[in-house]
Amino acid sequence: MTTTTPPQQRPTAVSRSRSLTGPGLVLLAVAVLLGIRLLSPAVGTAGLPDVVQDFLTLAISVVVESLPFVVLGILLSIVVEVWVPVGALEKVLPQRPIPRRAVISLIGMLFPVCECGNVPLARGLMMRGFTPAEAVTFLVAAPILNPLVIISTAQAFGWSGWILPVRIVGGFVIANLVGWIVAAHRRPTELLLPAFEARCRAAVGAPRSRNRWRDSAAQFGGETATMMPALFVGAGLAAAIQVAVPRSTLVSIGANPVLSVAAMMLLAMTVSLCSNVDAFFALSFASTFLPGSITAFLIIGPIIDVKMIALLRTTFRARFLVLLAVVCVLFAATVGLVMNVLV
Amino acid sequence: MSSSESRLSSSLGLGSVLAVALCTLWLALAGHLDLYINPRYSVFTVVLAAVAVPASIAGLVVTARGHGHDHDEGHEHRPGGAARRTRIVLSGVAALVTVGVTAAMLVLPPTTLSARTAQQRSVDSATLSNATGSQAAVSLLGSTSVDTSEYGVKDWAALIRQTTDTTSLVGKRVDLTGFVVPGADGSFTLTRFVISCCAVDAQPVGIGVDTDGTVPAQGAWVRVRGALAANPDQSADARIVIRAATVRGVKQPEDPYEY
Repeated sequence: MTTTTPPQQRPTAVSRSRSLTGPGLVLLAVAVLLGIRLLSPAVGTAGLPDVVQDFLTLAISVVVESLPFVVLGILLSIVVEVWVPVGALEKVLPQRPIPRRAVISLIGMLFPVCECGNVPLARGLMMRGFTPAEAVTFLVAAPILNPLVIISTAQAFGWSGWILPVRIVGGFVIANLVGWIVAAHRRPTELLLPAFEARCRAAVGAPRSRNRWRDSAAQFGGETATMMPALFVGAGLAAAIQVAVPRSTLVSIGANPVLSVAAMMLLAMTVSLCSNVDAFFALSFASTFLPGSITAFLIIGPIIDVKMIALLRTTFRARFLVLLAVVCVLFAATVGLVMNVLV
Repeated sequence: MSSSESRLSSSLGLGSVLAVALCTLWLALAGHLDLYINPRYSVFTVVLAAVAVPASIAGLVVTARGHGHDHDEGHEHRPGGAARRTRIVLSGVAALVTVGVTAAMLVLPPTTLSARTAQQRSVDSATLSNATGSQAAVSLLGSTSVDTSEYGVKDWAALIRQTTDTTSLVGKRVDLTGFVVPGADGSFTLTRFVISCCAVDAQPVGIGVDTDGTVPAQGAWVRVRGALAANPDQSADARIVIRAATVRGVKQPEDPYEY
């Protein structure tokens, strides 16, 4: 930079050089790490204490398992936000709020995404102009009412018996209940983080730019910036709880009709499994836990767990998470207890 | 948050996606993806990882050119003061966890869960799983026509728990590989982890082994040959154990988990 350069141009030049180094450094770091990976032994132990090693193995396994769903969810949210024409989705939905939310809660049937993918997708819906109540209805319903989850639950527990129908109907009811409560809130937008709310306001009705591919790539960057740290924190929490709390203490509660509901719900909230596969995990407890407790596990797990709370915190205020947790825990516990008594 | 900070967090998000996706692809190529997830989900995971690589590189290019979206934090009307500081600390912690776990995933060799976790998840206690998917019909056991040579630890453990008349099991020959979780004197539990989705849900299943020899070290992989017998310890939950003819140390199998 020469002394003749007008001073106001200087910041542009500086920020441009910085903007190139950021992503460049990231690429370099990834390349170096991958190089170490390829050169070091393929499997084995690094001599870490068992606790540390198991914590890392568990956290990494949650990330490896969830990443494809998060990526799929972000891609679908880009489709919803950037590619689907304005009004196309809105036209087919009923106008009155309650039937409208009921239809939205069934949209999950079209999106085979489990809960971690639904968070970016629900964000995409809100940036298209969906109300928080509608997005929340989708968010709660879709991880239960989606084809993969229904098939895997049926594989695990069969089409007969109460567990599958109660899970499906329960998911539909709780989603519309939560949506109704949010809609009844004085100002539902107050349940969103101010930053995200401002971004929605800016996005709705804004003219679409011509370069959709560039927009899509930028959107991918923006959503991963928000979701990935949350995913890693959620995975870390889930792994830490697994290492610290002996599972045997929870499982030993087994046969008590009341306590076993609580135990299975606590297990669901700490293990943070993906809803596409949680039925197989629940199946391994089917012999010792009552069906109501298993069903409570299958209803609460996709909605509230430590990984989900970290992911939801990217978009919603803490007071919404408390509301969601209280309503869903009460609902799942009621369903579980009623089933334990009746079935 | 300034636009350069926003760019930094975009780079962090995209970089971690890229790193995890590349590592997933490497794990799949090297045949070690099984250490983290059930093979049932391998294809799905690999396909999405392959999509994530070009997507995150495109995102990095767009970010580098300065066309990136400001993401959420960019627009916040901050109350300032303590709340802001908490937010900065929290996102700093999140960034550290992200970088730390990503680096660990790439730098440390992948490995199995330890015997410590098996013990902590109560191997073979009476309350533990038995419905992990064994297809064997218990009623057929009496007949010799059932081929049990392919049975793993999970299958035998499930059979032992499901069978009410344990006499039909006594004398069955077994040849099983698993790792050691030490028990009371002269016995240990031959254990495998069963994975329904990923390592987080790993459920240890095991069968007690009664041996005259020395009990191998905790976590050691062994091949046990012998026959099922009534448990000499009458007070124990499990009524059947393996009376071991030989216990031989072996290398950890290529795929240490059962499904």
